[in-house]
Amino acid sequence: MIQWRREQGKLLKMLINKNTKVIVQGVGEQGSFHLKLMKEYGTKVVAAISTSKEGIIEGVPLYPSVADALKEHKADFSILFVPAKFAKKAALESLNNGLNLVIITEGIPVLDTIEIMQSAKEKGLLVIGPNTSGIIAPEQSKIGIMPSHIFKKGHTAVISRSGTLAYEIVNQLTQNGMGQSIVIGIGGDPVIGFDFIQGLKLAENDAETESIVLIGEIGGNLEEKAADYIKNNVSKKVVAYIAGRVTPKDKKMGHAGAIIEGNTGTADSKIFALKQAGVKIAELPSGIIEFLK
Amino acid sequence: MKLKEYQGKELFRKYGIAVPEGKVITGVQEEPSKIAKAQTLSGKRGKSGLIAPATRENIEMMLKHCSEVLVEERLAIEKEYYLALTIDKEEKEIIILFSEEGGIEVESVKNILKLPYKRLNEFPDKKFAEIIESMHRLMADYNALLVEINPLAFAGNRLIAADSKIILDDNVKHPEYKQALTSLEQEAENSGLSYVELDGSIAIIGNGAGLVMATLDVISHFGGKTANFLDLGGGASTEKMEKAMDIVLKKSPASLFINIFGGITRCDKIAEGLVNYKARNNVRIPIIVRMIGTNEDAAKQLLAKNGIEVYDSMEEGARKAVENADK
Repeated sequence: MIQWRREQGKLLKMLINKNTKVIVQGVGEQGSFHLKLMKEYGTKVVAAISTSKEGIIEGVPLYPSVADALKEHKADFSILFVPAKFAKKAALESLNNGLNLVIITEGIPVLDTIEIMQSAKEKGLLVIGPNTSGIIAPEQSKIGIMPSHIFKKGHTAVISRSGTLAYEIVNQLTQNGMGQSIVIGIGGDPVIGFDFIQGLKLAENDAETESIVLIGEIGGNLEEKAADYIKNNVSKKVVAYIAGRVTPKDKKMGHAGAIIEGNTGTADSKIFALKQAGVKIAELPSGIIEFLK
Repeated sequence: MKLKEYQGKELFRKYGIAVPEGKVITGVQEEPSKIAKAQTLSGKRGKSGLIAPATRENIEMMLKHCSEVLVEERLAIEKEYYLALTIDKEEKEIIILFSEEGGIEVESVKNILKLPYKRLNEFPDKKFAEIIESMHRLMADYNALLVEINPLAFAGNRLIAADSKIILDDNVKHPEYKQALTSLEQEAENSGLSYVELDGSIAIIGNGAGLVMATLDVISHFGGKTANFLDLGGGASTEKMEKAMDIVLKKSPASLFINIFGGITRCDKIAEGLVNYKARNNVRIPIIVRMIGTNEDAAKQLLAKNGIEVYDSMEEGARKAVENADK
């Protein structure tokens, strides 16, 4: 069973399981499409928020605000599909009402993101993303946009900055009979909430998880910090793949966070740090499977 | 994206931060009593002669490295400081970075003071407060991730920004952002595609930044070099795929590798775009397709009907793309 333990408080919380209750904010084309797919997967979607639409969407009641929805329903998480321009307002609305967040939206200004993160910190709430594919506990629940059919329940935790690269590796895991306990997309933006360290902590303490796959990429120093953490705190087997080895400096690689500036954020620095921490580094995505066998 | 020094200084001036008198030249104009600064984006310009007296020789050399040179008055500098506002990614807040030792690479600056911007009132020296507040306004208005003055010079009884380094948030599309792109990169940007030019021979179309970066790595692993790559993003339409083909093929690559993992993206839409494009254009280079995920069966049928082979494994596909480029 996966649990989320607050840093300071005593309250133990499930990160995600079949009882996790979810609100959807933003029911445009993407939001309503994925609301339907989440429901089909078994996620308990209790309400959706729209300032322009009313009624019921895919069997889920619509409300004009998060506060209105919470008068009728209990919820743990809100998943955000709101366009970047309006995302800060929507995110703060959920945090102010005590909900954890999964932010799918891409392109939120970083200065807006830090305001969201400050609010979450004050309230002791969790933010996954922005610019994430979400989280999934296979065959139980998903709060995200990932293609459900490639996931299979099992004992490997996957934590990734990239969505599609996680799909690539999860698909290979499943085809080789290696199921997943949880798959977490932490997001491709320069500033994100839930990071590798929190993911590692969770996976290390989770009884269902036997091994951990870390999928990193160039830019920032999250992988280096994860390596430091692994040295002293993780006893389970960790294998990693780092994307962007041949990426040139100062070129933005699709993800705003994936940029090498000066000498920081290179694949070499990340691979070196992780190897020092005893993590096996796959040269190719398929190498992950070989290391886990 | 990074702004050039003179662009940053224009913003400083706008926000009331003093900068040296200067002008930008694009051809040789000698003024040996002044200082010439090549407007490249790389650091360590001083060491490579890209900051030097504005003599004919020096300016000619600089114009080989870049198209613009900033010519400025010399300052009688009494003391140099380092001052920056940036984002602490761990604490997720704006911080002030300050040092009494300015003018050198920040990585080698010792005794650096780090203070959250919200605690500006605790900053030890009040004479910097006004500049810090101006930098903060600039940061907020322009969505900057870094506003750095190094050195911030004390000269003639005032503080003056002798250099500027500003990095803008790529999540916000500034007018300056488009200027820094090549014409094909701009064309892609206008169509909602993300395109980057490189210098090899194999063109790449993929979906999702992480997967595309991994594709580049796998191509390189098998000994290939990438000409460019185009990220379709999520949920691309048939029309977007046609546009993507048009853009990557303009650089005349030796082969094209299409690597799609369909999640939100539907493989059949991508296949349709590819087939449509091929029907209308004379494509002479080998196209290698790897496609799995949402609606892959429909995609594979359509591609088979049009004589295009599809691989299930990205590594196999990449190997094939490299082999074909070598022919």
